[in-house]
Amino acid sequence: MKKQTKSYIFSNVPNAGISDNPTLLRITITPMHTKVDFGYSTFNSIYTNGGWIQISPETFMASKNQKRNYKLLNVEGISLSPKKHYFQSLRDWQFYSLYFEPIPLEDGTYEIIEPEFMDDKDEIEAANQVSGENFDFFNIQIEMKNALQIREN
Amino acid sequence: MPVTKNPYLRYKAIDARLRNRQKPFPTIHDLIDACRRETEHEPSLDTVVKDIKNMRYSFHAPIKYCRSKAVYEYTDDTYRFDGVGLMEQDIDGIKNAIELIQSIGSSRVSQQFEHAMEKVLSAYKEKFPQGNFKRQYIQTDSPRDFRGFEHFDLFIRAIKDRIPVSIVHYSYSKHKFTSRIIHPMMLKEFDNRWYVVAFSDEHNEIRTFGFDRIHSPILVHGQFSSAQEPDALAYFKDIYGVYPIENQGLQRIVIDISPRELAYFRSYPVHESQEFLHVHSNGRAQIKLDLIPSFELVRLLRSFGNMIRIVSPEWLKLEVTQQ
Repeated sequence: MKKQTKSYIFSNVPNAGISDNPTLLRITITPMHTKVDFGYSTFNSIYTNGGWIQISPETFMASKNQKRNYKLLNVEGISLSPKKHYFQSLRDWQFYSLYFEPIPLEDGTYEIIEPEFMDDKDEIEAANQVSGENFDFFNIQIEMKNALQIREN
Repeated sequence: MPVTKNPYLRYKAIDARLRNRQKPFPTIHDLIDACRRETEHEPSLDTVVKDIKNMRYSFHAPIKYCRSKAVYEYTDDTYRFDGVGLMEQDIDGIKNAIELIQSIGSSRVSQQFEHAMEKVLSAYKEKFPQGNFKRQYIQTDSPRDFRGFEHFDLFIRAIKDRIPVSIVHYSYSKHKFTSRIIHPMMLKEFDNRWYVVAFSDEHNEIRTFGFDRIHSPILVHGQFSSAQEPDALAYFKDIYGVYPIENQGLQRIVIDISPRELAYFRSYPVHESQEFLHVHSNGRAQIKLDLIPSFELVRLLRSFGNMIRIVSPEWLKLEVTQQ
């Protein structure tokens, strides 16, 4: 197989999140990683000052076709549990990115799954709080016809 | 920049030493010694070798190294390192421009400009002391380090080279994130805030995006939509500010102003279309503006409180009075 050297970006990737907050905004596929960009707006008045967000280090990207999981490598703009990113108000927002192992540059359907923590009440609450219900995204459609090549310099 | 790190002073010293007819054909150690006397700091052999290379590359200096004798010389006697030919008033003009740009506070622009000018003025260093830059005599209201300003260089490049950009945008009013592909055409500063004016693929029209609302811009390959480029400048011709109010076209706005505000409107016209319709002997006046109403215009008019009164249009009168 030819080694992948270029990086591509996919905007407005069709997906089926349980809610639209957080919103899956963009996916970047590079030879080193797959970067998934999300935006989250504080909205729910049941949380004090907008609450907080975190993501489990066990979160993964999965391909049903390939029957393969892609591990979370790094995060930007969000805390890995048990740490938390706290908001200050109900009018806050946060742009953040999750870096997974690189997925192949071809059409495919993926899921992003954050495992729940059944033994930790606080973390169950956190997982619920991120998306209003669960931080899980299904049916993420990567279509090469929508790929835009990133300029390297 | 500390004198010891300024390469232009060393270039000047190397040039003078190569030109010295009393002691022609200097060795590398002679050139190091010349730099030491000019800068009061002894540069390393590597530094001076790099300087010679830079002089050849950046200033086309015809410096030849003679391997058998291990000496340097100019192969063209007519070459002048200070051959830009600047007059005293040219130097003053450049100095003033650098000081003005530094005062305005666009640090990225000023650094690049100063660096370029240092090259031009390298031969005139003794007439161009660094110390002059320290005294700031123009103070502007430009906030430093505000959110998004780090994208300035990227957008400048996108505009110059016509490169589409993938951005994530957060709308303050809709409280919502979106991902967009934009084709930047112009940067605009208004009220100390920076905006990129761009054709938006998703909107299929020219839109304005505040730097502070843009996350993670990425230059991408692709066809640049330049068809509407000529419209970018025209887009702001009839707008005060940056965000026009939806579904409102160009229209005449008539405002009554109190005597206390008369001088303000006379001194600082809101827009080039501003004209006085009446000025009463008591100082009360009426002006007209031909504008596409914007959120910034509404904010400006509200800031005057009861010192002004919107005569027409009626909808704007209501908009300004209801907070």
